[in-house]
Amino acid sequence: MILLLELVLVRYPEVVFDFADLLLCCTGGLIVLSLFLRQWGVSQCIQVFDNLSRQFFRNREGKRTGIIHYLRRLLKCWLLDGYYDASALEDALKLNFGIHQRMFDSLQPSFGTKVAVTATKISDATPFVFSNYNGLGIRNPNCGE
Amino acid sequence: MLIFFRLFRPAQISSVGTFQDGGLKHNNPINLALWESRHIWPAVDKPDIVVSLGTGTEKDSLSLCAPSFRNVFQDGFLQRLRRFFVSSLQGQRAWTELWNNLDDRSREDYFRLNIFFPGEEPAMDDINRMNELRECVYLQPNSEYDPQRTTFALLVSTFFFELNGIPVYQTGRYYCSGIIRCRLKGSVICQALNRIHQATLTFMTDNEILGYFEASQDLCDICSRYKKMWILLYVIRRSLLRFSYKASYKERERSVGFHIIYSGL
Repeated sequence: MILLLELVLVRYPEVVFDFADLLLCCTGGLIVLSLFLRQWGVSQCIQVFDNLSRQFFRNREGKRTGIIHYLRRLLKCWLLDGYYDASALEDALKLNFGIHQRMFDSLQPSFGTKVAVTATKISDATPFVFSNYNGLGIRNPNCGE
Repeated sequence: MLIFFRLFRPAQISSVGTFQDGGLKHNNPINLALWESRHIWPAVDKPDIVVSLGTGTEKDSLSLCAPSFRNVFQDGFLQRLRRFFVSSLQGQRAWTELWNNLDDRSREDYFRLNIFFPGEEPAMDDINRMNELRECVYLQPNSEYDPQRTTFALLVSTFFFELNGIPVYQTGRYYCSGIIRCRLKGSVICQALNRIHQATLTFMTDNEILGYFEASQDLCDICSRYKKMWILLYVIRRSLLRFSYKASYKERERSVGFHIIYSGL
């Protein structure tokens, strides 16, 4: 995703942060927050996330296939409620972003880009939107269902 | 994005709740973005430009061929259930559904940038394929939604029309005068546009040409802001007026622009 943005925007770094009025994403939230709120350059963003991915997933169990390996991964996911350690990911993020960095902290308080990250409730997968804005309109209570 | 929620446990946010990956419901959140934009700007009926960034799609998932049933292990109930679940999470699907609902005019303002995986979709945590996927971005120029066309549309979307007086009603029409401005740094936008298009660019409505894009004359020497002075045009009561910034692009006329809608006069 970052690379697709790079093709479009990297040639015009002077205005890249002003192009978007609203950015909404799910798993790409970290990338969007880094680019548009922290105002990282595209190259810096690519490098940081490349390093983060290689550092965090370096212990991935190669290309093992087979029913035994698949069942073992499934059992691990079930017992630990996830395959990777989320606290280790949080430590890696703090290392790269700083321990005091909050989700929507921006370099410029008056910066206009509205950013939102999606999530779902664990009970019924109802979508939630975490945003750095409040809207003027009245949101339909069933919006997103 | 494929079953990211199984990689990490849900996150608990104190006094808010416990949450998991948003991709379970909206793996491509483009519809959420459109709904949110109405919530943020209720007076705006449609966005100027919508850009959707994909994370890759299997080419075979778009195939129109329907395979035959092989056996209960390869095509049995559990396998079909798994494939259905995986398919429902495909971000390209959400885009295709949205695209099918758009009329031809609206489609000019919607852009999807995505790649096809060289083979099967890689695992979410397969770092060995990162370089390969990175190369795909540069080796797969998509002829319909190429980055240059998207860039051009984004640049043009920074222009807007500002009335400098109340429209005058005369002989069944309203005559408006105003200024075309650019909301970002004019010198940078103009330079970028000239880099993309060497041909003459014009401001025009569906009825007439209003003027030519002349960066050297329209940019302020002091503040570098863009201002096209004294645009005069007529509108018919309750009609949709659209400025088109038209240029020849790869031997095909393309028109992008910004909207003016008025009512109540």
